[in-house]
Amino acid sequence: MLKELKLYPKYVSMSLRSGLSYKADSFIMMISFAVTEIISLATVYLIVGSVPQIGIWSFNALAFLFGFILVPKAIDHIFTDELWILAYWAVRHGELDIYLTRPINPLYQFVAKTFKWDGIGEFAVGIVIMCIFAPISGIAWSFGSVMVLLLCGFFGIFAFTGIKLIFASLAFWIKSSGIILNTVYNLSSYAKYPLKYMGKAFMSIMFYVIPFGLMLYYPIECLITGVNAWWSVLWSAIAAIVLMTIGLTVWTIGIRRYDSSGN
Amino acid sequence: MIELKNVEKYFKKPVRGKGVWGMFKSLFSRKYTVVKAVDGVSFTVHDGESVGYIGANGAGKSTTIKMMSGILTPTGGEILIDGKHPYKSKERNAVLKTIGVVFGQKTQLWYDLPLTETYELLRYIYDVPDDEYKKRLNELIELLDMKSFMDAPVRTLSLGQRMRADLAAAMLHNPKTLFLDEPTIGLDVLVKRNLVDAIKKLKAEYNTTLILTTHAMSDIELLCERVIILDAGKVLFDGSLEEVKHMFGDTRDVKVTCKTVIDGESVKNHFGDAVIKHAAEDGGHSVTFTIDGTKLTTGELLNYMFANYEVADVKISETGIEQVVEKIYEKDRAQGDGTNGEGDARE
Ligand SMILES: Nc1ncnc2c1ncn2[C@@H]1O[C@H](COP(=O)(O)OP(=O)(O)OP(=O)(O)O)[C@@H](O)[C@H]1O
Ligand SMILES: [Mg+2]
Repeated sequence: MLKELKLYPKYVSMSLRSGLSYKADSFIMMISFAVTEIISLATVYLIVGSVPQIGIWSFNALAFLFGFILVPKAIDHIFTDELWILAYWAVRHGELDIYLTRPINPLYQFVAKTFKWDGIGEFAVGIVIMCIFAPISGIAWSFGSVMVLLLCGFFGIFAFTGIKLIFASLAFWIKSSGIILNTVYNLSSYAKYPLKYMGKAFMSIMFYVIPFGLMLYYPIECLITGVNAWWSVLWSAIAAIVLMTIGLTVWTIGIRRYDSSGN
Repeated sequence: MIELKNVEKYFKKPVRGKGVWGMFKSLFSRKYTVVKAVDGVSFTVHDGESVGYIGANGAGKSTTIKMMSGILTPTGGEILIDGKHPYKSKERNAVLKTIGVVFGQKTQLWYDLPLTETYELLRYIYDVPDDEYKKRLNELIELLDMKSFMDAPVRTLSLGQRMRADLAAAMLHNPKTLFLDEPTIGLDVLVKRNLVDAIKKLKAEYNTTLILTTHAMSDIELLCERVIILDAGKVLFDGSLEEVKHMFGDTRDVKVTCKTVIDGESVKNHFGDAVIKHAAEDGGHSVTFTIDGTKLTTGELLNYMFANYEVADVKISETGIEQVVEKIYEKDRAQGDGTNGEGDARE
């Protein structure tokens, strides 16, 4: 582990310099991620803005939730974007060979080699939206609620990383799992809406099966209502550990089935 | 020491139905064909040996190399490198530190960055001490003649340069064993010759155990003392290079073209049974001599030709691995043990 940590800055620097020739590309990507998110928030406003309140949720509270989700999403995007390549491409084309011949964790090598700084765009948009809407979101701010927010934001990163790892590793069985991963990953966008009022079945899925709701939506709901906030931290932590454990297990079993490619 | 004990690797290929409906069905069916890529291979390689691992396309050479270098897990049997399994998660790191791998078809170099960047990364990954790294890198740069392209991004290197760079990358941590899977693929004759010479020097310098696959018999002749021939996943032959040569007879084809007509018969008479046969083409202006390498060198034949004819062109054909395998088959069949060349359940 220590070795991996010590090596990480080296990987980041190599990744940054190796992307240098495509700098313009990344810059455009960064702007476009940011703009997409802003447009998406505007859409929420168009839909919800005319209704003064959906149960406990005002538009301002929803906007805050929207900003909050962007932050762990962006952080995951910056660090583990390569998992998409695992799902769509790397297993099918036998591109894990070189990582498997080196005496250091192959998953680490594979993920560490790409540092997607263009995720900074989403991250910044998330922070700005949170700052704008925090005072008018109806959350009673205190040291405790800030801690809840920070901790749940941190565990929220693993909602994305864990889901990505689990479903990308399925590629070891089905060669290409990109479409499945994409479908599951996109469920995260429903955590931006008042799940509480979206039907029991769907809410259960978002809480207990693909826990984007539990890890991203529920903490903010608790902060707004002012009850159970610390419970939500505990649930987030447990969900993060469970997801990462499943993800690493699926990877570990899967990599043994890895077939490389015929040429 | 490398030991393979009855190693098997089977690949499952799903049976794809025809048309859209068939494709849909195959998503849910468990039908597949089994490809026995490696089918019960056993051999032992001692420290310092250099082994040519040869066989026709699809024989299972790369698959074996991948199992020995930690990429694939065998379906059956056991692989031990100095007593450890390269494919078991607890033992792999210990094994991988002692081996280096080059795949001619793939590179491990960082595409957009100068070579030195990848080498630095490898230095950290393999925990090579600073002074040792510098010393070794300089030696390798010298040996492989890489000075001129050390600072160019990898994507700008020629294939020959890239291959040398990959070779250096695999040697940086002073591996005890080096696996080379078709290191000369796609290289022209001269570049190939240089690379083979460099590998030879590396081996002499560091006494590395070498396991090499290739389709060029000349690579094997220059680099290996021992040859293992694989066919359809099974070992067909395991012995010294001398034995192989002896088995298929060390013959080579030399085609000589002259302005005047060549009297093939008189050449044959001059050398006796050292010239096995001669075939004239082009109305006698071109003759292909098949000579027995144990009795006559190509040089001796050519000297004679130069002395007696106005030679315009000479072509010496390399014996391919495929021909060797074919010859060995013929021997097998002649002995009447009835093996046929078809592997089972192959594509
Ligand atoms: N990843 C894979 N999935 C399915 N089948 C495979 C895979 N890799 C290899 N095979 C099959 O296994 C057999 C052996 O392949 P392998 O690559 O080991 O041959 P090889 O001896 O290296 O051939 P070549 O000289 O063409 O490189 C072939 O029939 C090939 O189609
Ligand atoms: Mg091969």
